[in-house]
Amino acid sequence: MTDYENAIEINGLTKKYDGFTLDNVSFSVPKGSIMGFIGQNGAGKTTTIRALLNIIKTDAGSIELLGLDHIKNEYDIKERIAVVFDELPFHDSFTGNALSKMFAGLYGAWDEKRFLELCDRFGLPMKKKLGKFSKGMKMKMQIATALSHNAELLIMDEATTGLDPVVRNEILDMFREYLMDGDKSILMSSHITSDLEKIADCVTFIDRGKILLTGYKDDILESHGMMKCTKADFKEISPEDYISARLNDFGAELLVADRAAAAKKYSGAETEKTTLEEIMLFYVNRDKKEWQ
Amino acid sequence: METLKRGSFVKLLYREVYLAKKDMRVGTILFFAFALFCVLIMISFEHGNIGKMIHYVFGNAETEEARLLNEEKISQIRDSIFGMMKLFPVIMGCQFLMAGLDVSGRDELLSWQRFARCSPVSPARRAAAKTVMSLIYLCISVFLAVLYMNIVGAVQGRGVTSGEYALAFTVVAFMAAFCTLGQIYTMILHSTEKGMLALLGTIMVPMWIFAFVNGMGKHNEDIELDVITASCEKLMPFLPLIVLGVFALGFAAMYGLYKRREK
Repeated sequence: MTDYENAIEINGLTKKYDGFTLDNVSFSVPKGSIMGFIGQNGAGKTTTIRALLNIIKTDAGSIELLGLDHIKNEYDIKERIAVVFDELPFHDSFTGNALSKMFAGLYGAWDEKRFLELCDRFGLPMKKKLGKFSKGMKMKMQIATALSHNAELLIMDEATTGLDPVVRNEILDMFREYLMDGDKSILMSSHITSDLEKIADCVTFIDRGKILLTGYKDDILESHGMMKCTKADFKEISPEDYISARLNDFGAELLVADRAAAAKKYSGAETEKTTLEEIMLFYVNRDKKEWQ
Repeated sequence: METLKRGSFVKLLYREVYLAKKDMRVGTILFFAFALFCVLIMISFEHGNIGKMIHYVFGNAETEEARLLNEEKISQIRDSIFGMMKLFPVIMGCQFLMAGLDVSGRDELLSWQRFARCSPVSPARRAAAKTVMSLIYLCISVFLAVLYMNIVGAVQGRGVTSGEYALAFTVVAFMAAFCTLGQIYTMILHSTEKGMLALLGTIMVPMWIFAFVNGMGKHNEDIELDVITASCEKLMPFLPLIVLGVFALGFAAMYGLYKRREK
């Protein structure tokens, strides 16, 4: 096994489509961490993940997974990673038992015992066809397969979308256990920011093909803040000091990138902590600057 | 770097077999149902009511010349019916070859190809699994064809001629090529329906041209079964090579399609 510091390292990734460009995307996922990859629909999350997995060609940039080049060492990497999509990619006619046999053909490190344990824990019947499973059960089955071949890196593309909070919580608990040994990493793309707030160590925010923020979640939440003020006070605030402002009848809410500095400079305004969801919302509207 | 253990190739084949279970069940039922039906028709022609009916229609002749003409007609009808009855079950036995086409079509409906792309199974291994399964289906179809031909030979009391074997194997080989091409079209067009339409177009266009040219009167002779059988016998020594060539091309095409990345 290779020794590596970052499970994923992307530098200058560029991919051009008509009407959309993934523009110079760069970020890293440290080994042993969960990276929340957030952005609204159409921001470029799935495109980035497909580029990582060599599903699509890229126009520029370098990608390393587990310390290895993602093209030159493609199959060695893929033996050590697991991918979970938003939709079940297996035929409805498969049962859990049949799926286990199939996966033994896909992965050399397939652990049937581990798979059966996970299915039992998730309450998944092994003899029932996948076509009869609920959406939550299908996702749990997919995750059970992903966690049953000793993968060092788990890549999830909007895998918790459409699931109820109980199922999502169960899945997040599973991920916490998965990461316990410190050698495993997760890249989880989602627009459900509340899940990422619960579990992510790092966050990367992408919007319209560009990375706006990347770093440790706590640092981002600590540095950013929401400043609230009256309409009159809002006029005194320099546009350079905030990302964007949401105006209402009573005043304005402004997202600031440096909460401490903003609190010091604008002592008359109320400055408080914010959430990932609000950070995402305000960054998305950064071009408008003022919005309602 | 340590060599990583790869997944089992046999388990890759297991996936193909598992998904083709329904097609194989249908293929088995169709084959044996048609085989039974055709054998009964032939028995009935030789010893039963169909034969009596034919003789009743053509049996009355006032002159020796008319009687000979009627016997010739009966013989022609017998040859046509027996020719069709010998081929139908062989074609039904080729239903197994359609299983690969069906599985490929269902793969395209899901995001299976994308998932498989994220697995450590190389395009060559995936294409090899599909090709090996097609070979297995071909062997099953050939076995069923031989079994049926021998049953028919026993019913007729005269065994199987080399011409009959040649005709049956040519039909199976054609169906194998047909299904391999259908699989490729399905993978290129990402749809079983579009793949089948493309396949029908590929086959129908030369047939239409042939029918048009034939209809124009340039080739006035009817094509006799004996002529077709004789042509198949000439082709027989090359048939295994042709089939292997078709599968090799199929493998190469599938490898290329599995290797390609999405836009």
